[in-house]
Amino acid sequence: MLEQLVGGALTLFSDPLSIGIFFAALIGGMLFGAIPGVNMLTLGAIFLPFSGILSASDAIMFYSVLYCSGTYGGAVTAILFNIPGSPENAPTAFDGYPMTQKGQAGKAIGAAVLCSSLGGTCSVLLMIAFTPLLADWAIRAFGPPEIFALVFLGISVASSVGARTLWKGWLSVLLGLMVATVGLDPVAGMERYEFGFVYLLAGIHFIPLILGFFAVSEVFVQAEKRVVGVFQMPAFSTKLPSLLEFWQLKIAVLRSVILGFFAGILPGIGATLAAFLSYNEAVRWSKTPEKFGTGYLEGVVASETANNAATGAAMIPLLSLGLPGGALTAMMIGVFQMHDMEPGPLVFTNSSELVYVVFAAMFFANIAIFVLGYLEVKTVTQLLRIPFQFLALAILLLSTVGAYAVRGLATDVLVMFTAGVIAFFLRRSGYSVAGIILGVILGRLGEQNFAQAMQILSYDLGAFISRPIVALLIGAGVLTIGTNIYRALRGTRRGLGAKD
Amino acid sequence: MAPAMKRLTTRQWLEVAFWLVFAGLAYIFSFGFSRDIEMYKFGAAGWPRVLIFLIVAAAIGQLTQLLLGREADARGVAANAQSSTTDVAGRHDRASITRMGLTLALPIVYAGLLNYTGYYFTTPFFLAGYLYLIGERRVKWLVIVPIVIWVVLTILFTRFLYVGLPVGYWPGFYDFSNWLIVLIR
Repeated sequence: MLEQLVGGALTLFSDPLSIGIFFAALIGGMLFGAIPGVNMLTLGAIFLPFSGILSASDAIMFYSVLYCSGTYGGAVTAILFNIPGSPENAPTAFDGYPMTQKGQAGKAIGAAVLCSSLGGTCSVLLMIAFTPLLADWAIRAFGPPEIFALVFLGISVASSVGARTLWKGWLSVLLGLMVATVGLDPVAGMERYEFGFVYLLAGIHFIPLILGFFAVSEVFVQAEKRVVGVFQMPAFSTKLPSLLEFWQLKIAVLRSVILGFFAGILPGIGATLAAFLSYNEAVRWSKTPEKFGTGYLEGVVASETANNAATGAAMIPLLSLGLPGGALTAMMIGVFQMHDMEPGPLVFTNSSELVYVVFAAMFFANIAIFVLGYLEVKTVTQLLRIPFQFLALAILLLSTVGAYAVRGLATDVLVMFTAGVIAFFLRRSGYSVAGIILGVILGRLGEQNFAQAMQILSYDLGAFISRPIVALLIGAGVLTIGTNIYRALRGTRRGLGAKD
Repeated sequence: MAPAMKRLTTRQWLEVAFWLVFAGLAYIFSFGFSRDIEMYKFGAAGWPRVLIFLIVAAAIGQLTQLLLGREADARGVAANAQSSTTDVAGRHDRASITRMGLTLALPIVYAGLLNYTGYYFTTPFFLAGYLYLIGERRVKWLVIVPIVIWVVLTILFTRFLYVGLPVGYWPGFYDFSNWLIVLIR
C-alpha cells in the first residue's frame, strides 16, 4: 500500500501542472465551500468543460481534491454565521455557532480543521486498503430494503436532534418528510400537492430551504435582538483547542471515522447522513448530553470527522464499480467519459497509475487542509469584527444569490425567505430546523427505496425484516426511538414525582 | 394518585390545533392523487397518508405531554441546538413589534419583486431598507454599506462566477439590468 501511495505521490508532484491543479482544487474547494450559495459543486460544474483539455489523471485528481476541501470549507460559515456551506455541514452549526457566540470561534474552526483532516486521512487510508473488498460487499449487500432501513435509522436519529421535546422532534422531521412529498411521486410520476403551480411539480429544492432555515432565520433572530435592544456582538477569539482537549475526544473521533466511512460507501447516502448519525451517536454516548447544542466541542468534532471520513469512502463504489454516491462523484463519471474511460473494476488494471495518483492527491489534500486550515483560523475569524448590521446584509444577499443560482428561479428566493420566517417562529416554539431539513433530504430517498423494496419482496414484510442488515438497521432505529421515549417518560415521571 | 392536568395556554392549544388542521388538510388534498398505480400496490397516496397519521399521533403525544405539564423535562437530545437562543427578553412595545414585523416582511416583498424589477435594480434599496430596520440611523452608512456590498457581490457573481441573476420582466428594469450586466462583464 505504501509503495503504491509513494508512486502516486511521485507522479503527482513531479509535474508542475499537476501541482498547480492540486492547489487550485484545494484552495478553490475551501473558498467555494465557505461562500454560502456557491459550493464545491459550483466550482466542479464551472471546471467541467475545461477538464477535457487536461490529462485524465489530472482531471480526476482535481475533482477528488475538490471533494475533500469543499466538504471541509462549508464548516467555516456554519461555525461563524450558522450558514452550513452544504447539507453535510449542518450538524456542525449546532455547536459550532454557539461556540462562536461564546467567543470560541477559533477553537471551533480549529477543531473542524483537525477533525476534517483526520477523518479524511483515515478515510483515504481505509479506501486504499479496502477498496475492492468493501465495494463488492457494499454493493452486493445494500439493495433498496437496506437503504430504506438506513433511511429509517437516519429519520429516527433526526427526530431526536435539536427539538425542545421528543414530540416536537418528530413533528419537525415529519414536516420535512411531508415537504418532500410535494411534486411528482417517485414511483409513477403522479402529481402530488402541486395545487396547479408548475413550480411545485419539480418539488421544493432543499438548498433554498437550508439557506432559509439556517442563514435567514439566524439573521432574523439576531435582528430581533437588535430591535428589542438586547443584541451583543459575539466575543472575538482565535484561540485554538489544546491537544489535551483533542485527546479527551479520541473515542468520539474514532467512532465518527467508522460511521462516516461506512455511510460514505453507500451510494446516495453519503456525508450528510454520516454527519447527523455521528452527531447523534456522540450525544447518545456522552455522559453530559445536555451540553450538546450549547457550544460543545465534541459536537463539532463528531460532525466534521464523519463528513470528511465519507469523502474517501464515496470514491470506493465510484472507482470499483462506476457507481457515483453523489453529485460531485457523478461529475467524475462525466470526466472519465470525456477521456473515453469507464470507471469500474477495469480501471484498476488498465489505469492503475491514475487510481494511485487520485489516492495520493486525496491523502495530501487532507494533510494540506490541516496546514491551510490553521492559517484560515487566524484570518477568517476576523470577519467577526464586522458589525452585525453590515454582516447581515451580506448574508442575506449571499443567500439570495445562492437560492436563485440553484435553478435560476426567483420563486426559490421567495421560498427561502418564507422558510426563514417560518423557521424563526418554529425555533421560538422549540421545533428543530435540522430535523425538518433531514426529513426533506431523506424523504424522497426513503419513499423511493421503500417502494422498490416492497416490489422486489412482493410486499412481504417478513422477508423484509428477515434480511440481516435490514434487521440490524431497523433494530438500531427502534432502539434510538425507544431510548428517546424512555428518556422522555423518565423525565415526565421524575417531574411528576417531584410535583407530588 | 392520578397526575393533575395542567391548563394550557391559548398558544399551546393553537400549536396542537395547527398540526391537526395541517394533517386534516393534507389528508383531504391527498384524494387528489389517490389513484392506483399498476406496479405499486400502495399508490401515490400511501406514503403521505402514513406520514399524516404519524403527524396526528405526534400532535396527540405533544398535547398529552403538555396536559401533564412536563414539556421541559421531556427534551430531545441537543435540545438547545438552534432553538433555545430565540426566547428574547428586552422591550416588546408596539413599535418594536411593528419594526420586527417589517423586518420579517421586507425580504419576502423583495423576493416577490425580483421577477418584475430584477436583482440589479432592487437590491440596493432592499439592503438600505433592511439596514434601517435593524437599527442603523447614520445616513452615511445607510448609503455606503448597501452600495459597497451590492457592488462587490454583484461583480463577484456576475463577472467572475457567471451566475445569472434575475433581470426583471418590466421593460425599464429589464433594460437597466442588461445594460449593467454588459457593463460589468
